[in-house]
Amino acid sequence: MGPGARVALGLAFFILFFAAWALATFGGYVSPTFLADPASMLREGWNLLVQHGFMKDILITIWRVFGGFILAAAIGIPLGMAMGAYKPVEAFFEPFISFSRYLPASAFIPLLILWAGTGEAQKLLVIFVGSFFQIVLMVAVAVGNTRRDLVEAAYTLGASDRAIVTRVLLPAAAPEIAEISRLVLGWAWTYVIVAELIGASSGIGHMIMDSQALLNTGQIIFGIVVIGVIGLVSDFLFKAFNRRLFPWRLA
Amino acid sequence: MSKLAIEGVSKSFAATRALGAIDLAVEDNDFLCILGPSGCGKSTLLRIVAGLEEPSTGRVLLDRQPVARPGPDRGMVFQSYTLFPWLTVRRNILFGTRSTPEKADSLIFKVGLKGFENHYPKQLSGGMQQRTALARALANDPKILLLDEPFGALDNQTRALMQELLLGIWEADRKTVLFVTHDIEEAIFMANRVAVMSARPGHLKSIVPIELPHPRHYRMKTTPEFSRYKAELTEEIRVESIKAMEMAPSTSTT
Repeated sequence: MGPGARVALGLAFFILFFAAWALATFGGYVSPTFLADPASMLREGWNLLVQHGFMKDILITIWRVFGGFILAAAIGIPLGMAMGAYKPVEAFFEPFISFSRYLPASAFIPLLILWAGTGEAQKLLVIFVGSFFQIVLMVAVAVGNTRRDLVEAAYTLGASDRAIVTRVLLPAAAPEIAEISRLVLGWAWTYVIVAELIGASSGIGHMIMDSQALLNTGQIIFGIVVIGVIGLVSDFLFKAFNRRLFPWRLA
Repeated sequence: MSKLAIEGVSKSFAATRALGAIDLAVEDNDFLCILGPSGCGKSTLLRIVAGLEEPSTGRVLLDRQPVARPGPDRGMVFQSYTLFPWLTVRRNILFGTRSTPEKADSLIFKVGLKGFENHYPKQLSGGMQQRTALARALANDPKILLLDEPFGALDNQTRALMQELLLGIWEADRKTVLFVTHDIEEAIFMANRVAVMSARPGHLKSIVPIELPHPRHYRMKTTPEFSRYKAELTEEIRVESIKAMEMAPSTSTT
Protein backbone atom coordinates (compact mmCIF):
# COMPACT_ATOMS: atom_id res chain seq x y z
CA MET A 1 0.00 0.00 0.00
CA GLY A 2 1.38 3.39 -1.04
CA PRO A 3 1.60 6.36 1.33
CA GLY A 4 -1.11 8.16 -0.68
CA ALA A 5 -3.56 5.33 -0.11
CA ARG A 6 -2.74 5.32 3.62
CA VAL A 7 -3.53 9.00 3.99
CA ALA A 8 -6.71 8.64 1.93
CA LEU A 9 -7.96 5.75 4.08
CA GLY A 10 -7.09 7.60 7.30
CA LEU A 11 -8.98 10.69 6.13
CA ALA A 12 -11.89 8.58 4.95
CA PHE A 13 -12.61 7.43 8.48
CA PHE A 14 -12.61 11.00 9.81
CA ILE A 15 -15.11 11.99 7.13
CA LEU A 16 -17.27 8.96 7.85
CA PHE A 17 -17.17 9.72 11.58
CA PHE A 18 -18.27 13.33 11.08
CA ALA A 19 -20.95 12.24 8.61
CA ALA A 20 -22.43 9.84 11.15
CA TRP A 21 -22.32 12.53 13.84
CA ALA A 22 -23.97 15.07 11.55
CA LEU A 23 -26.63 12.55 10.53
CA ALA A 24 -27.46 11.70 14.16
CA THR A 25 -27.72 15.33 15.27
CA PHE A 26 -29.08 17.18 12.21
CA GLY A 27 -31.42 14.27 11.50
CA GLY A 28 -32.97 14.77 14.92
CA TYR A 29 -32.16 11.26 16.17
CA VAL A 30 -30.33 12.63 19.22
CA SER A 31 -31.53 15.50 21.39
CA PRO A 32 -29.25 18.61 21.30
CA THR A 33 -29.28 18.53 25.13
CA PHE A 34 -27.13 15.40 25.01
CA LEU A 35 -25.12 15.91 21.87
CA ALA A 36 -24.50 19.13 19.97
CA ASP A 37 -24.29 19.00 16.19
CA PRO A 38 -20.93 19.73 14.47
CA ALA A 39 -21.99 23.20 13.36
CA SER A 40 -22.98 24.41 16.83
CA MET A 41 -19.83 22.85 18.26
CA LEU A 42 -17.76 25.01 15.91
CA ARG A 43 -19.91 28.06 16.67
CA GLU A 44 -19.56 27.53 20.42
CA GLY A 45 -15.85 26.98 19.99
CA TRP A 46 -15.53 30.26 18.10
CA ASN A 47 -17.47 32.03 20.88
CA LEU A 48 -15.19 30.51 23.48
CA LEU A 49 -12.08 31.71 21.70
CA VAL A 50 -13.34 35.18 20.83
CA GLN A 51 -15.52 36.12 23.81
CA HIS A 52 -14.39 33.99 26.75
CA GLY A 53 -10.63 34.06 26.35
CA PHE A 54 -10.42 30.29 25.84
CA MET A 55 -6.95 30.69 24.29
CA LYS A 56 -5.67 31.58 27.76
CA ASP A 57 -7.13 28.36 29.16
CA ILE A 58 -5.48 26.37 26.40
CA LEU A 59 -2.09 27.95 27.09
CA ILE A 60 -2.42 27.36 30.83
CA THR A 61 -3.24 23.70 30.27
CA ILE A 62 -0.28 23.28 27.90
CA TRP A 63 2.04 24.89 30.43
CA ARG A 64 0.78 22.58 33.19
CA VAL A 65 1.30 19.47 31.09
CA PHE A 66 4.80 20.43 30.06
CA GLY A 67 5.72 21.82 33.49
CA GLY A 68 4.66 18.68 35.35
CA PHE A 69 6.10 16.42 32.68
CA ILE A 70 9.49 18.17 32.59
CA LEU A 71 9.67 18.01 36.38
CA ALA A 72 8.93 14.26 36.31
CA ALA A 73 11.41 13.64 33.48
CA ALA A 74 14.16 15.74 35.08
CA ILE A 75 14.14 13.56 38.20
CA GLY A 76 12.75 10.34 36.73
CA ILE A 77 15.20 9.83 33.86
CA PRO A 78 18.39 10.09 35.99
CA LEU A 79 16.88 7.86 38.66
CA GLY A 80 15.75 5.33 36.07
CA MET A 81 19.24 5.34 34.54
CA ALA A 82 20.84 4.77 37.93
CA MET A 83 18.48 1.85 38.51
CA GLY A 84 19.19 0.37 35.09
CA ALA A 85 22.95 0.73 35.54
CA TYR A 86 23.45 -0.29 39.17
CA LYS A 87 21.82 -3.40 40.59
CA PRO A 88 21.83 -2.22 44.24
CA VAL A 89 20.08 1.03 43.31
CA GLU A 90 17.50 -0.98 41.42
CA ALA A 91 17.00 -3.37 44.34
CA PHE A 92 16.51 -0.39 46.65
CA PHE A 93 13.91 1.52 44.63
CA GLU A 94 12.28 -0.98 42.31
CA PRO A 95 9.74 -2.59 44.71
CA PHE A 96 8.47 0.75 46.01
CA ILE A 97 8.20 2.33 42.57
CA SER A 98 6.50 -0.75 41.09
CA PHE A 99 3.92 -0.39 43.85
CA SER A 100 3.59 3.36 43.40
CA ARG A 101 2.97 3.22 39.67
CA TYR A 102 -0.39 1.57 40.33
CA LEU A 103 -1.52 4.37 42.63
CA PRO A 104 -3.92 6.35 40.45
CA ALA A 105 -2.82 9.95 40.07
CA SER A 106 -6.42 11.16 40.18
CA ALA A 107 -6.91 9.62 43.64
CA PHE A 108 -4.13 11.87 44.94
CA ILE A 109 -5.96 15.04 43.97
CA PRO A 110 -7.78 15.53 47.34
CA LEU A 111 -4.52 14.98 49.21
CA LEU A 112 -2.57 17.26 46.90
CA ILE A 113 -5.17 20.00 47.32
CA LEU A 114 -4.77 19.61 51.08
CA TRP A 115 -1.00 19.86 50.80
CA ALA A 116 -0.53 22.32 47.99
CA GLY A 117 -3.83 24.18 47.74
CA THR A 118 -5.58 24.66 44.42
CA GLY A 119 -2.84 26.66 42.76
CA GLU A 120 -0.43 25.75 39.99
CA ALA A 121 1.81 23.70 42.29
CA GLN A 122 -1.01 21.23 42.87
CA LYS A 123 -1.73 20.88 39.15
CA LEU A 124 1.93 20.23 38.41
CA LEU A 125 2.08 17.68 41.22
CA VAL A 126 -0.81 15.69 39.74
CA ILE A 127 1.04 15.43 36.43
CA PHE A 128 4.23 14.64 38.31
CA VAL A 129 2.66 11.80 40.33
CA GLY A 130 1.07 10.40 37.18
CA SER A 131 4.25 10.49 35.07
CA PHE A 132 7.19 10.08 37.42
CA PHE A 133 6.90 6.40 38.42
CA GLN A 134 6.12 5.32 34.87
CA ILE A 135 9.17 7.14 33.53
CA VAL A 136 11.49 5.72 36.18
CA LEU A 137 10.46 2.12 35.61
CA MET A 138 10.46 2.25 31.84
CA VAL A 139 13.82 4.04 31.67
CA ALA A 140 15.31 1.51 34.11
CA VAL A 141 14.18 -1.34 31.86
CA ALA A 142 15.46 0.42 28.72
CA VAL A 143 18.89 1.02 30.26
CA GLY A 144 19.02 -2.47 31.76
CA ASN A 145 18.38 -3.95 28.31
CA THR A 146 21.49 -2.38 26.78
CA ARG A 147 23.33 -5.02 24.76
CA ARG A 148 25.78 -6.78 27.05
CA ASP A 149 28.38 -7.16 24.31
CA LEU A 150 28.50 -3.40 23.72
CA VAL A 151 29.27 -2.87 27.41
CA GLU A 152 31.96 -5.57 27.25
CA ALA A 153 33.49 -4.04 24.13
CA ALA A 154 33.65 -0.66 25.89
CA TYR A 155 35.40 -2.22 28.88
CA THR A 156 38.03 -3.83 26.64
CA LEU A 157 38.61 -0.38 25.14
CA GLY A 158 39.51 0.98 28.56
CA ALA A 159 36.19 2.57 29.57
CA SER A 160 35.74 3.19 33.30
CA ASP A 161 32.51 2.32 35.11
CA ARG A 162 31.50 5.96 34.86
CA ALA A 163 32.29 6.11 31.16
CA ILE A 164 30.15 2.99 30.64
CA VAL A 165 27.16 4.96 31.93
CA THR A 166 27.82 8.18 30.01
CA ARG A 167 29.35 6.79 26.83
CA VAL A 168 27.46 3.51 26.38
CA LEU A 169 24.31 3.13 28.49
CA LEU A 170 23.04 6.68 27.96
CA PRO A 171 23.51 6.90 24.17
CA ALA A 172 22.34 3.31 23.69
CA ALA A 173 19.11 3.93 25.62
CA ALA A 174 18.57 7.52 24.46
CA PRO A 175 16.20 6.74 21.56
CA GLU A 176 14.09 4.56 23.80
CA ILE A 177 14.10 7.20 26.54
CA ALA A 178 12.85 9.73 23.99
CA GLU A 179 10.14 7.29 22.94
CA ILE A 180 9.14 6.72 26.59
CA SER A 181 8.92 10.50 27.06
CA ARG A 182 6.63 10.81 24.07
CA LEU A 183 4.38 8.08 25.43
CA VAL A 184 4.22 9.48 28.98
CA LEU A 185 3.59 13.00 27.69
CA GLY A 186 0.51 11.57 25.96
CA TRP A 187 -0.71 10.17 29.27
CA ALA A 188 -0.01 13.48 31.01
CA TRP A 189 -2.76 15.03 28.89
CA THR A 190 -5.28 12.76 30.62
CA TYR A 191 -4.05 13.68 34.09
CA VAL A 192 -4.11 17.40 33.46
CA ILE A 193 -7.78 17.39 32.49
CA VAL A 194 -8.66 15.34 35.59
CA ALA A 195 -6.69 17.80 37.70
CA GLU A 196 -8.56 20.70 36.14
CA LEU A 197 -11.97 19.15 36.66
CA ILE A 198 -11.49 19.47 40.42
CA GLY A 199 -10.52 22.67 42.21
CA ALA A 200 -9.41 24.68 39.21
CA SER A 201 -10.34 28.15 38.00
CA SER A 202 -8.69 27.99 34.60
CA GLY A 203 -7.66 25.52 31.94
CA ILE A 204 -9.43 23.36 29.36
CA GLY A 205 -10.73 20.98 32.03
CA HIS A 206 -12.17 23.87 34.01
CA MET A 207 -13.96 25.17 30.93
CA ILE A 208 -15.46 21.71 30.36
CA MET A 209 -16.74 21.63 33.95
CA ASP A 210 -18.32 25.11 33.51
CA SER A 211 -19.94 24.05 30.26
CA GLN A 212 -21.45 21.02 31.95
CA ALA A 213 -23.20 23.31 34.43
CA LEU A 214 -24.64 25.21 31.44
CA LEU A 215 -25.49 21.98 29.61
CA ASN A 216 -23.47 23.34 26.68
CA THR A 217 -22.43 20.10 24.96
CA GLY A 218 -21.04 22.08 22.03
CA GLN A 219 -18.41 23.68 24.26
CA ILE A 220 -17.61 20.37 25.96
CA ILE A 221 -17.03 18.62 22.65
CA PHE A 222 -14.99 21.56 21.36
CA GLY A 223 -12.80 21.34 24.49
CA ILE A 224 -12.28 17.62 23.97
CA VAL A 225 -11.43 18.11 20.30
CA VAL A 226 -8.91 20.83 21.20
CA ILE A 227 -7.15 18.45 23.61
CA GLY A 228 -7.08 15.80 20.89
CA VAL A 229 -5.60 18.19 18.33
CA ILE A 230 -2.92 19.50 20.73
CA GLY A 231 -2.04 15.94 21.74
CA LEU A 232 -1.73 14.90 18.10
CA VAL A 233 0.40 17.91 17.19
CA SER A 234 2.76 17.53 20.17
CA ASP A 235 3.10 13.81 19.43
CA PHE A 236 3.90 14.55 15.81
CA LEU A 237 6.50 17.18 16.77
CA PHE A 238 8.05 14.82 19.32
CA LYS A 239 8.34 12.06 16.70
CA ALA A 240 9.92 14.42 14.19
CA PHE A 241 12.31 15.69 16.84
CA ASN A 242 13.33 12.14 17.81
CA ARG A 243 14.01 11.26 14.19
CA ARG A 244 16.30 14.26 13.84
CA LEU A 245 18.04 13.48 17.12
CA PHE A 246 18.85 9.86 16.29
CA PRO A 247 19.73 9.63 12.61
CA TRP A 248 21.85 6.53 13.24
CA ARG A 249 18.73 4.44 13.92
CA LEU A 250 17.28 5.05 10.49
CA ALA A 251 20.55 5.10 8.58
CA MET B 1 59.29 -14.69 30.29
CA SER B 2 56.26 -14.92 28.03
CA LYS B 3 54.12 -11.97 27.05
CA LEU B 4 50.99 -13.77 28.18
CA ALA B 5 50.95 -16.67 30.63
CA ILE B 6 47.83 -18.73 31.28
CA GLU B 7 48.47 -20.76 34.43
CA GLY B 8 46.15 -23.57 35.49
CA VAL B 9 43.05 -21.73 34.31
CA SER B 10 39.77 -23.63 34.55
CA LYS B 11 36.14 -22.62 34.54
CA SER B 12 33.04 -24.28 35.92
CA PHE B 13 29.49 -23.06 35.51
CA ALA B 14 27.36 -24.33 38.42
CA ALA B 15 28.13 -28.05 38.54
CA THR B 16 29.48 -28.45 35.01
CA ARG B 17 33.09 -28.04 34.09
CA ALA B 18 33.40 -25.95 30.93
CA LEU B 19 37.14 -25.64 30.73
CA GLY B 20 39.85 -27.94 32.10
CA ALA B 21 42.99 -26.59 33.67
CA ILE B 22 44.87 -24.85 30.86
CA ASP B 23 48.54 -23.90 30.84
CA LEU B 24 49.57 -21.86 27.84
CA ALA B 25 52.23 -19.28 27.10
CA VAL B 26 52.10 -16.74 24.30
CA GLU B 27 55.38 -15.11 23.28
CA ASP B 28 55.84 -11.54 22.19
CA ASN B 29 54.96 -11.10 18.48
CA ASP B 30 53.38 -14.54 18.42
CA PHE B 31 50.24 -15.32 16.45
CA LEU B 32 48.60 -18.16 18.32
CA CYS B 33 45.36 -19.76 17.15
CA ILE B 34 43.23 -21.72 19.58
CA LEU B 35 41.43 -24.34 17.53
CA GLY B 36 38.69 -26.50 18.97
CA PRO B 37 35.25 -27.99 18.36
CA SER B 38 32.09 -26.06 19.27
CA GLY B 39 31.48 -25.81 22.97
CA CYS B 40 34.99 -26.75 24.03
CA GLY B 41 35.36 -23.58 26.07
CA LYS B 42 37.81 -21.79 23.78
CA SER B 43 35.76 -18.60 23.83
CA THR B 44 35.49 -18.83 27.61
CA LEU B 45 39.28 -19.05 27.79
CA LEU B 46 39.62 -15.92 25.66
CA ARG B 47 37.06 -14.08 27.77
CA ILE B 48 39.04 -14.98 30.88
CA VAL B 49 42.17 -13.54 29.27
CA ALA B 50 40.18 -10.41 28.41
CA GLY B 51 39.06 -10.15 32.03
CA LEU B 52 35.39 -10.41 31.08
CA GLU B 53 35.07 -13.62 33.06
CA GLU B 54 36.79 -14.84 36.19
CA PRO B 55 38.52 -18.21 36.13
CA SER B 56 37.36 -20.78 38.72
CA THR B 57 41.00 -21.68 39.30
CA GLY B 58 44.35 -20.42 38.04
CA ARG B 59 45.40 -17.03 36.80
CA VAL B 60 46.38 -15.06 33.71
CA LEU B 61 49.52 -12.90 33.61
CA LEU B 62 50.18 -10.22 31.03
CA ASP B 63 53.75 -8.91 31.25
CA ARG B 64 53.88 -10.65 34.66
CA GLN B 65 50.93 -8.62 35.92
CA PRO B 66 47.87 -10.65 36.94
CA VAL B 67 44.72 -9.89 34.96
CA ALA B 68 41.76 -8.95 37.16
CA ARG B 69 39.39 -7.00 34.93
CA PRO B 70 39.10 -5.89 31.32
CA GLY B 71 41.52 -3.19 30.25
CA PRO B 72 42.88 -1.33 27.24
CA ASP B 73 46.06 -3.45 27.25
CA ARG B 74 44.00 -6.36 25.84
CA GLY B 75 42.09 -5.36 22.72
CA MET B 76 39.24 -7.61 21.69
CA VAL B 77 37.22 -8.25 18.56
CA PHE B 78 34.04 -10.23 19.13
CA GLN B 79 32.18 -12.58 16.80
CA SER B 80 29.02 -10.50 17.16
CA TYR B 81 28.99 -7.00 15.69
CA THR B 82 29.83 -4.75 18.61
CA LEU B 83 30.30 -1.37 16.99
CA PHE B 84 28.46 1.38 18.86
CA PRO B 85 25.52 2.03 16.54
CA TRP B 86 25.23 5.71 17.50
CA LEU B 87 28.81 6.48 16.47
CA THR B 88 30.22 6.79 12.97
CA VAL B 89 33.07 4.55 11.83
CA ARG B 90 35.65 7.18 12.75
CA ARG B 91 34.14 7.91 16.15
CA ASN B 92 33.93 4.21 16.90
CA ILE B 93 37.65 3.90 16.19
CA LEU B 94 38.25 6.92 18.44
CA PHE B 95 36.27 5.38 21.31
CA GLY B 96 39.23 3.73 23.04
CA THR B 97 40.87 5.74 25.81
CA ARG B 98 44.27 5.53 24.09
CA SER B 99 43.10 6.14 20.55
CA THR B 100 44.16 9.32 18.77
CA PRO B 101 42.91 10.99 15.57
CA GLU B 102 46.26 10.23 13.86
CA LYS B 103 46.06 6.51 14.71
CA ALA B 104 42.40 6.40 13.72
CA ASP B 105 43.04 7.95 10.31
CA SER B 106 45.97 5.69 9.57
CA LEU B 107 43.94 2.61 10.57
CA ILE B 108 40.92 3.68 8.52
CA PHE B 109 43.30 3.68 5.57
CA LYS B 110 44.91 0.34 6.51
CA VAL B 111 41.62 -1.54 6.82
CA GLY B 112 40.32 0.04 3.61
CA LEU B 113 37.53 2.16 5.03
CA LYS B 114 38.60 5.42 3.47
CA GLY B 115 35.43 7.18 2.34
CA PHE B 116 33.29 5.43 4.95
CA GLU B 117 34.55 7.34 8.03
CA ASN B 118 31.25 9.11 8.52
CA HIS B 119 28.99 6.12 7.93
CA TYR B 120 27.01 4.61 10.78
CA PRO B 121 27.44 0.86 11.47
CA LYS B 122 23.95 0.16 10.11
CA GLN B 123 25.11 1.39 6.71
CA LEU B 124 28.02 -1.09 6.58
CA SER B 125 28.27 -4.72 5.48
CA GLY B 126 29.31 -7.34 8.03
CA GLY B 127 32.87 -7.42 6.69
CA MET B 128 33.18 -3.64 6.94
CA GLN B 129 31.84 -3.68 10.48
CA GLN B 130 34.42 -6.24 11.54
CA ARG B 131 37.18 -4.24 9.84
CA THR B 132 36.06 -1.24 11.84
CA ALA B 133 36.02 -3.33 15.02
CA LEU B 134 39.56 -4.49 14.24
CA ALA B 135 40.69 -0.90 13.66
CA ARG B 136 38.98 0.16 16.88
CA ALA B 137 40.87 -2.47 18.87
CA LEU B 138 44.20 -1.63 17.18
CA ALA B 139 43.77 2.14 17.59
CA ASN B 140 43.86 1.62 21.34
CA ASP B 141 47.33 0.13 20.92
CA PRO B 142 46.84 -2.98 23.09
CA LYS B 143 49.73 -5.21 24.15
CA ILE B 144 47.83 -8.20 22.83
CA LEU B 145 44.95 -8.58 20.40
CA LEU B 146 42.24 -11.08 21.34
CA LEU B 147 40.03 -12.28 18.50
CA ASP B 148 36.98 -14.41 19.19
CA GLU B 149 35.98 -15.97 15.84
CA PRO B 150 35.82 -12.45 14.42
CA PHE B 151 35.06 -13.65 10.90
CA GLY B 152 32.70 -16.45 11.91
CA ALA B 153 29.54 -14.65 10.80
CA LEU B 154 30.92 -13.63 7.39
CA ASP B 155 30.50 -15.42 4.07
CA ASN B 156 33.44 -17.49 2.79
CA GLN B 157 34.80 -14.98 0.27
CA THR B 158 34.65 -12.07 2.69
CA ARG B 159 36.21 -14.21 5.40
CA ALA B 160 39.16 -15.13 3.16
CA LEU B 161 39.77 -11.44 2.38
CA MET B 162 39.55 -10.53 6.05
CA GLN B 163 42.12 -13.20 6.91
CA GLU B 164 44.53 -11.72 4.39
CA LEU B 165 43.90 -8.23 5.72
CA LEU B 166 44.55 -9.24 9.33
CA LEU B 167 47.60 -11.27 8.35
CA GLY B 168 48.95 -8.30 6.38
CA ILE B 169 48.56 -6.06 9.41
CA TRP B 170 50.22 -8.62 11.64
CA GLU B 171 53.11 -9.13 9.21
CA ALA B 172 53.66 -5.37 9.19
CA ASP B 173 53.86 -4.74 12.93
CA ARG B 174 53.84 -8.17 14.62
CA LYS B 175 51.32 -7.37 17.30
CA THR B 176 50.88 -10.33 19.65
CA VAL B 177 47.63 -12.10 18.70
CA LEU B 178 45.48 -14.74 20.35
CA PHE B 179 42.90 -15.92 17.83
CA VAL B 180 40.07 -18.33 18.59
CA THR B 181 38.51 -20.29 15.74
CA HIS B 182 36.95 -23.62 14.81
CA ASP B 183 38.06 -23.25 11.20
CA ILE B 184 41.14 -25.40 10.54
CA GLU B 185 42.17 -23.64 7.34
CA GLU B 186 41.85 -20.26 8.99
CA ALA B 187 44.07 -21.41 11.86
CA ILE B 188 46.82 -22.76 9.59
CA PHE B 189 46.80 -19.78 7.26
CA MET B 190 47.12 -17.23 10.02
CA ALA B 191 48.95 -18.78 12.93
CA ASN B 192 52.53 -19.35 13.95
CA ARG B 193 51.28 -21.98 16.34
CA VAL B 194 47.94 -23.74 16.62
CA ALA B 195 46.79 -24.86 20.08
CA VAL B 196 44.29 -27.69 19.64
CA MET B 197 41.65 -28.08 22.32
CA SER B 198 39.72 -31.20 23.25
CA ALA B 199 35.93 -31.48 23.50
CA ARG B 200 34.22 -30.11 26.60
CA PRO B 201 35.53 -29.69 29.21
CA GLY B 202 38.29 -28.23 27.04
CA HIS B 203 41.87 -29.28 27.66
CA LEU B 204 44.91 -28.37 25.66
CA LYS B 205 45.51 -31.37 23.44
CA SER B 206 48.55 -30.36 21.43
CA ILE B 207 50.42 -27.38 20.06
CA VAL B 208 51.30 -27.53 16.37
CA PRO B 209 53.89 -25.02 15.08
CA ILE B 210 53.01 -23.85 11.56
CA GLU B 211 56.27 -23.44 9.72
CA LEU B 212 54.99 -21.74 6.62
CA PRO B 213 57.02 -18.71 5.52
CA HIS B 214 55.81 -15.12 5.71
CA PRO B 215 54.50 -13.14 3.94
CA ARG B 216 51.77 -15.66 3.29
CA HIS B 217 49.71 -15.49 0.16
CA TYR B 218 46.24 -16.97 -0.31
CA ARG B 219 47.64 -19.38 -2.96
CA MET B 220 49.52 -21.02 -0.12
CA LYS B 221 46.26 -22.70 0.83
CA THR B 222 46.66 -25.09 -2.11
CA THR B 223 50.28 -26.11 -1.46
CA PRO B 224 51.23 -29.64 -0.27
CA GLU B 225 52.66 -28.27 3.00
CA PHE B 226 49.42 -26.56 3.77
CA SER B 227 47.49 -29.73 2.99
CA ARG B 228 49.75 -31.74 5.26
CA TYR B 229 48.98 -29.43 8.18
CA LYS B 230 45.34 -29.58 7.29
CA ALA B 231 45.34 -33.37 7.29
CA GLU B 232 47.13 -33.48 10.63
CA LEU B 233 44.82 -30.99 12.34
CA THR B 234 41.71 -32.48 10.76
CA GLU B 235 42.55 -35.80 12.42
CA GLU B 236 43.07 -34.13 15.78
CA ILE B 237 39.88 -32.09 15.64
CA ARG B 238 37.72 -34.84 14.17
CA VAL B 239 38.07 -37.07 17.19
CA GLU B 240 37.08 -34.17 19.43
CA SER B 241 34.18 -33.10 17.23
CA ILE B 242 32.75 -36.59 17.42
CA LYS B 243 33.03 -36.46 21.21
CA ALA B 244 31.41 -33.04 21.22
CA MET B 245 28.54 -34.28 19.08
CA GLU B 246 27.87 -37.18 21.41
CA MET B 247 27.47 -34.64 24.23
CA ALA B 248 25.41 -32.40 21.97
CA PRO B 249 22.80 -31.14 24.46
CA SER B 250 25.37 -29.39 26.61
CA THR B 251 27.29 -27.77 23.78
CA SER B 252 25.19 -24.82 22.80
CA THR B 253 27.89 -22.15 22.86
CA THR B 254 31.31 -21.96 21.32
